[in-house]
Amino acid sequence: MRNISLADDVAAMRASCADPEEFVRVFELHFDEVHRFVAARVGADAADDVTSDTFTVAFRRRERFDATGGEVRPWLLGIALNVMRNHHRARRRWYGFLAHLRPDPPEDATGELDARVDAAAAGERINAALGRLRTGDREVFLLAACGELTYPQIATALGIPVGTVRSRMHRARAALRADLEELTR
Amino acid sequence: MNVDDLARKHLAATPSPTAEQRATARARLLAAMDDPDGTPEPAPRGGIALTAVGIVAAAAALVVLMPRGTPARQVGEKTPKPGSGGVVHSGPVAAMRVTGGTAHQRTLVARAAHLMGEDGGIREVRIHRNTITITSRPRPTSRQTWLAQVMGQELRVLDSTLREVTVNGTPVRTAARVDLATLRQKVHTAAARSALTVTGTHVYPVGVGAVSVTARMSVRQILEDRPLPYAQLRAIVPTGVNGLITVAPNRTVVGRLGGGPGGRVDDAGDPAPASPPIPTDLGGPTRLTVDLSEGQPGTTQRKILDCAGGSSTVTDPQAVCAALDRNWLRYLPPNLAARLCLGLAQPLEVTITGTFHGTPVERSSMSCPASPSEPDWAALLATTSTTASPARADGVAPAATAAAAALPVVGGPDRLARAVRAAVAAIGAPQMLVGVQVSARQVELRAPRGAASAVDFLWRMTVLRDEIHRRASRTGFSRINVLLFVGAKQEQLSPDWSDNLLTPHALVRLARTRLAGSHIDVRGVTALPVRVGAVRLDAVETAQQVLADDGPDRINLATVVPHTVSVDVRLRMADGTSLGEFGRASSLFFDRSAAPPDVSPALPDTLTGPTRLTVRIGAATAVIDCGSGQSTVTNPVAACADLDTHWLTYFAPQDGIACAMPGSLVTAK
Repeated sequence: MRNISLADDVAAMRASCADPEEFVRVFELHFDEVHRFVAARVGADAADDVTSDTFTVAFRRRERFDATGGEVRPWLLGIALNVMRNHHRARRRWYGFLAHLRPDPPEDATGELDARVDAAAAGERINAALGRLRTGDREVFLLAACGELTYPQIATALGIPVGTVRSRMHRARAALRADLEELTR
Repeated sequence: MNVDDLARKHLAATPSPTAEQRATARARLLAAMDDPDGTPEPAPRGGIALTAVGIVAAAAALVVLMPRGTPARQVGEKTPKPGSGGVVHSGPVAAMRVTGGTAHQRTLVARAAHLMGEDGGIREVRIHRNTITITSRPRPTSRQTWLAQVMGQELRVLDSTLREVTVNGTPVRTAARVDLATLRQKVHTAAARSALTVTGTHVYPVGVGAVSVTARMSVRQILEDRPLPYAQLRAIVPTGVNGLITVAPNRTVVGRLGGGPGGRVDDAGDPAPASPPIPTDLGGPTRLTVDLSEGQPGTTQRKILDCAGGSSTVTDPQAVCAALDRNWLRYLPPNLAARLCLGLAQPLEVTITGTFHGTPVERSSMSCPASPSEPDWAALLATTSTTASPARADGVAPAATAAAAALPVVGGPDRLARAVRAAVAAIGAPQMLVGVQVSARQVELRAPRGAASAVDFLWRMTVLRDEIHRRASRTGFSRINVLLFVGAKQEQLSPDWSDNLLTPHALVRLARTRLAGSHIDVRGVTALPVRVGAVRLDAVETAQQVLADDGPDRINLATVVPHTVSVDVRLRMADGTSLGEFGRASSLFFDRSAAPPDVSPALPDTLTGPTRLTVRIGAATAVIDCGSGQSTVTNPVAACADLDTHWLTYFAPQDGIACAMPGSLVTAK
């Protein structure tokens, strides 16, 4: 039994250039995370297609992955963002961000919903505040807050300098703080 | 709370993808990997590593090992049958239903199906304008899936106006036409030159190109489990042409790999492969080391099996060795799909290393088409010469079909209502419900107010919820929400779902095997007839065991089945006195002690030692000594008599699981 660990993903990416089957390991490692990341933005239905396309695109671009210093997760999330922008189904939701940001409720997961009731109560306001951010600022903020990427990882994902990440993050936080002042107190 | 945390908490409600979503995405990725356009630039370096194109060619090859004695090298092709052009078909596509579309389109479908000349296992072909949806019958073989994919491709060639053709939800890619005469010539020439034991080839008369190649693999080759010689296979089937690999040492197919532009398929061959006899030239010893685990640290058990008379750690080595020889293919299947199937997490694991009749073998369970199964091995190693006559009352409970038929199931699509009724029958407790309300998106289970007082109510309802969800998914209702109402109040069930891979019979066998070391006597192992996995154990504790209050031993009872399987342990004493019930419904643990009887069961004569207790109540301490008279209570004689009469009241088993594992479990009320 071959165990897969996160530490394997770069090795799997590297190996997939010679043996494409190795890419399945990358898929197995990161599918859930990428799917959740996408679903939070475009809904569960469109997320299936977008996530699937993300891995297909990643597979075809695997030669371009920088195995020497790169990390797979931000690279995949960066591709996911691009696919979301281009995906015809997702695009409607992407631009209708304000109305559609809330993820689909989990099926029958009433216990989970109860546990998150506080956040859900504030959900509409958070959606609205996120929707008012500039696109670039929002992407940076979401990658940091929900994708849990570091600034250099976000820079990798979006293909922008780290300094730009910092300034966008600063702008996003300032705008959200102003918008959500009561909720953050 | 800062804005980062606020947003994170809000967005954290996104559900994880389901296994179905993951499987679909994986299938699409594999299909993309089969696409020659998926080859990265620059092209991969040489060596034997496969490029994307190489994979296509490799997976496109077909090796079928024919029955022994089959005349060598049968090369040819089947004559296509004339298309009927109608909706009802005969011959290999008799069960195929064609709906929608124009008469011309239906004719093309019939033609494509007949060109394949074999039963593609297709249940329905639905035509809507320029889209064709091909759906297989339940559980198609890989060969049938492959045939359906080729047929889908052929349809795209026959009708260039088609915008999309899908086979079981996976889009079929377009493919270039091939010249049949040239393809036939190439295949025949390559087969003749191949170093493989090729015994036949078949070129399908379809424009997109589909080839099968027949070869043979010896028992030793299967045991050694060497990777298939992809380079040689690639040399037989030209790049970009559909093909299938099927491997069998005799009439039993032990594995198939296939693919090409139409998609990819692989499976483990026949579900119960008949093992060919072990050749006499395999004359060495059988010595195996078997590691069994449930996929979690610390749960691995190592067993040594030495069929050459050395030391073994199984009960009856001779019986195990005989059973292994009879069914070696089942226990040591070759992982033909190794290159296409990576080791993925699986709850049950088994690893086998050593020699089998002198041939080195190494196998491990993986979520691959062909790999050894931990339950199979656990059962094999427990084989004894008397295994055939177990004294236990084990088995699969019958479904309460008649009672379920009387339950009012109202509303919703008929198919869904039938699925719900079948699930209610399967869990065997229709009387716990007074009705079920069904709609296209939701199933509401209605139970009377007092129903929740039954100890196993929530356990059964959780199993029912999971089974309804599973059956609904199979009938096309994949997003059904199942709610439980007791009276007017909605009850919460476990948020997790069962995810069981084993049949009810396999679960019973597995549980019984793992109970071998238990100190608690389990009189019966009963699985409910549901595929989500639900097992009941009827366990009996002695008075000594009750007094010893061995929590860990009780916990072991709840872990005899994989953690994804719901388990309900009924604990009682030999005279029938109930001690309680505990277990797991999906991921939710429950534990409920029974009220002690007014008079405790008589203590057995075997308990002959003294009774001496120190009782602390707050700051006060009292000693009851029923032997030496050193008691500090007012009336030690009455106290000792009371203890003997009501010992089960005073020494009731702790809430077994919940108390033994504080903090990690939830106690159901």
